[in-house]
Amino acid sequence: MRKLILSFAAIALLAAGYYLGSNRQAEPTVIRVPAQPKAEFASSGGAEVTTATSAPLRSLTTPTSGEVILVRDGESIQDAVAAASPGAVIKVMPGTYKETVYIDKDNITLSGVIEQGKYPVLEGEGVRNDAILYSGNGTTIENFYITHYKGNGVMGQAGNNFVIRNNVVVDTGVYGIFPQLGKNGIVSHNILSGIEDAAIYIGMSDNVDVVFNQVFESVAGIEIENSRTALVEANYVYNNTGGILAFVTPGLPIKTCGDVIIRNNFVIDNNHENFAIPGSIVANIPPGTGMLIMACDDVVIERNIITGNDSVGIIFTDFSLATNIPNDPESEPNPNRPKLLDNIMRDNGNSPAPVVRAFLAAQLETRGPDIVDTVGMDDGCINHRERYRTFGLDKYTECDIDTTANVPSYTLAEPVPPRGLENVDIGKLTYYGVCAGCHAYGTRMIGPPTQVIQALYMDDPAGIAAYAAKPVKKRDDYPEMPPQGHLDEETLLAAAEFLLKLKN
Amino acid sequence: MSAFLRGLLCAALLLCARSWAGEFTLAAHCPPGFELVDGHCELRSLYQQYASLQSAGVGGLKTGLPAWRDGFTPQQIDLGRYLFFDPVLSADGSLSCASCHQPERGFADGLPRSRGMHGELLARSAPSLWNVAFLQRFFWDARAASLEEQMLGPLYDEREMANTPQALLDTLNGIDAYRSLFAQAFPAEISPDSGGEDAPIHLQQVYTALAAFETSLISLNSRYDQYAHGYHDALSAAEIEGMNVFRSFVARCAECHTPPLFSNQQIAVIGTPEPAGLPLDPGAQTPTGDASQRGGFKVPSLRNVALTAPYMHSGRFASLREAVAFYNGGRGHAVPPGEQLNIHWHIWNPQLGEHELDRLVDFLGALNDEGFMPQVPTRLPSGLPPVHNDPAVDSGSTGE
Amino acid sequence: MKQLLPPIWLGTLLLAGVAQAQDAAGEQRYAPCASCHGDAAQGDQAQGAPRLNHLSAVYITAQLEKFSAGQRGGADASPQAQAMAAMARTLPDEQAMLEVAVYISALDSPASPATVAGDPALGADYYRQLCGACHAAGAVGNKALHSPRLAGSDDWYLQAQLEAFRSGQRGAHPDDRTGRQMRAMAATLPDDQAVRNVVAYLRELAEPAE
Repeated sequence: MRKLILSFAAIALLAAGYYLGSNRQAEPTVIRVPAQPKAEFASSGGAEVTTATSAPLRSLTTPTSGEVILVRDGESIQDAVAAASPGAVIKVMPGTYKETVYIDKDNITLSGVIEQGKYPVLEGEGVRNDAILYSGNGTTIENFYITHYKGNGVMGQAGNNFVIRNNVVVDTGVYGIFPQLGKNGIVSHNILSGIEDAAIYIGMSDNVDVVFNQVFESVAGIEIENSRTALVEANYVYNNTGGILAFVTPGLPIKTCGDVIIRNNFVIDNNHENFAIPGSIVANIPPGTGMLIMACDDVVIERNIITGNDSVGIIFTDFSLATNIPNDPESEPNPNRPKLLDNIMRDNGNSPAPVVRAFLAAQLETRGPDIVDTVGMDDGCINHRERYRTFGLDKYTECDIDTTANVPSYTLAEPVPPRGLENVDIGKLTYYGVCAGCHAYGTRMIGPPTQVIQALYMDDPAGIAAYAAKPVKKRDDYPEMPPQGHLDEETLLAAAEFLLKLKN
Repeated sequence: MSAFLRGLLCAALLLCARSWAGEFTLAAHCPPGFELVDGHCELRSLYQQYASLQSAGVGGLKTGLPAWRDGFTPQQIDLGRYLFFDPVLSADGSLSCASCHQPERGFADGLPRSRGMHGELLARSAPSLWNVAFLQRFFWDARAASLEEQMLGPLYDEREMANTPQALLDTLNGIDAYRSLFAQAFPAEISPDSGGEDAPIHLQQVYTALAAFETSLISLNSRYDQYAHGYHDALSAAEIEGMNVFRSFVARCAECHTPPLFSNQQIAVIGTPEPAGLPLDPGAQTPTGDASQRGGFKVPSLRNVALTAPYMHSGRFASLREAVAFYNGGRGHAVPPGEQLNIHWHIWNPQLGEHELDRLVDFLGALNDEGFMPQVPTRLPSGLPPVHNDPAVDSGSTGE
Repeated sequence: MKQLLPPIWLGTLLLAGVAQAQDAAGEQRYAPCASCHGDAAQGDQAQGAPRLNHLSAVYITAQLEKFSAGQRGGADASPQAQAMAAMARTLPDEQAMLEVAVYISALDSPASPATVAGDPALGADYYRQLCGACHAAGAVGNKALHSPRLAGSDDWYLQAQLEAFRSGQRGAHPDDRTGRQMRAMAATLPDDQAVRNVVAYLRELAEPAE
């Protein structure tokens, strides 16, 4: 290492000397060497994120309790989910399962068993909507073969701490794997093809790693949409209409996209015809697009191999491509602060799609570029710009970083904490949020006043909790209390304790 | 309405009001769902134990609420309740807020398009007021940014309550009971310009009180909510099936009608048909002037939606079943010829089965919750009788 | 109108023997009580003895047990309550208390005249908001909640008892659960005028004098 630095320094001195000594000569050759190391990559979303020196890379796992439920061919996975407690591992044996599985519990591991290459198959038969829906915190879904669903293969709705790995998702619906509105997750080692929108779609989420996936013959390979702190690394993305996308969709409730690292991917020959559903946003993607960055900020594209994409290698753009979406004044359209670090790009733009050809015609070109910025951002940067054919990067400067390697993962060092336990007086929320619908402190509403309940039960909150769970009618002139068994014992007791302490 | 009639009415009101003065006391306790903290009512809900991504208040089952308004005093809320039900707010004393926002109809009015002061049809349907505390934008076309801004529309639109700011102020100031109630709700320490019992009522106080009452209408305790909080027996098998269709990426309902409010509060162009013979309502295009938003309307919350038929901005669909079937009809199928609308990308042809549409309706019924229904005043400070019951019938004489 | 005995007590009575025999035993046991409470258990304000015949046998029995066990009529109680405790202890067992209670509850008399000045309308509002949750509409009592009938009670007695609850003279014994419950509720009455208002309202609920 030291030797390398010395030799660099020698070249630098040599170069400087040559330059100083030959200043009358025209067109000198200058080898520029940075006077000092470049800064470490800084990410605005990086504060809470794993760093290279702390916890092991991607330590996220779903907690288990030791409970294991076995599902055999011919049985129902959903029945197993219904029987499972948080922490259960549901093992699904090879076979064909024709169902939609929904997981509304925390910490469930849904794990296929692969024997002699035979997967458990989730078969949608073209009539079922989604294969797997989850909303719980802490969900692992692994080792499934998912096919022929109308909607999505795996869809998450506001589940945090998710792991979706080692699945094969083929010829199924709109999105292959779609965690939405979740925080802290890993999508890795999945194989997806034949998806009519995005094969892997990270929608309105934070802190997600999409790594080591093989994605092909879909309209969009990997899509990061209205999300922050996402790492897309070491994926093999080929023969899609568009390879890797990072963008803002206007009109969604979470308006920003940013801090996305796209690193060490193979983005190859993404020239598939666009077979998206008419009206969808990806229907606008020109075939032959390696990467598309639309309105997403602070995207770093580093050390990818991007070759054979017939329209363009990388395109930075605003909403001008998405002509079929109403304007949203709250969505900022520019792809601010793009960074391009050391990518390998060859053979891109050989046969541009018509919309790209029209754009090129205005530039008096026929071949698509490696990199184009249709906005002409003035806050972008690029290293080794001389290697690429570019349009619109005139205002890009040299980047002050070489690499984002100091951010090995955007997943969190500690999982998102369980819901509902932090600094919350559950008794108070339950009393005012539920009980108060019928019980006021000193006046009669639908049920007896809280003051009366206090007098009747005094120091016996457990008595209140037990009664509320299974009330019996005691008062002719009051309606019967509906059972509150929807609240668990702990919550009822907390509410009862709060009720007994109330002063007004 | 002639000045003479108005004068007659005011005289009558004064007489009535005198006899009522002093008989009204405003509640000192908060409505259900609120905790009294330092004299102000603060919202309390089980949803407050959850976070939401980027604090946006959109997500899945255990997701925190969108930002809300609270902090009014019990007295302001209770005063708002009287005002809300009092037809004295309209020019001729025939319409109250509750005429179009009837408690027993989900705070809507059951009409395809609401009826104004003289029974004439208005442009759009009355939206439900449940959970308006969580809304950032008001009216179907989202043209108002606050309840206070919104209420100026119906109060002063000559086709609706047809009042004027000055006439409203004069009327209220002429009613002793209201003078006394406003003094209770806005004591000197709250409004420094108020001078106690004899101080005149300000319009801003009227708007504040109405907003205070409206934001107290909270509905977050449906059987769906019990399921969301973890009690999975709260929903029937049919309702769970419907919930899974609702949140599936085939029906995609939950993409815009996002829990927990069941609205993402965005503008969406979905291309629903107008009632026969009416031209396309340009929706959000009118206030924004943005042609790309033509036909765009605010995504409404679906809480208590089963109580608020008919559906869509102009009430084209008589039932929930018809409303959900619209989304199964194909992208843009009801857009008038010649119109080029930027139909929302989630509107497609999901090819849902008939039984799936039935299950969707089942699920939507599980969003009903009227547990925090406020009490309708039996007497009003103006002395007028409450009139909110069934204007559809009342207005029968005006030309139906 | 007399309250019907709950089925469980009817069952007990039938098992115990002929109702006639019960009545005779109860009458005999009541004889010492009559010197204060009167032949018809109609009460005597001069002696501070309240009307009893409007109460249910269950409630009367429960109170006799409390007096007997020292939960009512202890050292801090009023002289009348202390005297009542001594009398209750002359009854040998629960069966005896039940017999006398059944006898009393079968008696009848008109309500005593109104003596407490209060605003029955304000009292009604207060009663409806709070008291009625246990003592029921019309103040007929609620067996499920062990609350006695108040309609028909002497207003002077109700006032005295509310004041006793408020001062802690009654309902303070740790084992007197229903007494402690009532003490907590009596404490919510804002002032003596409110006590009088509620009592005036309850007096209005008494069956009209014949």
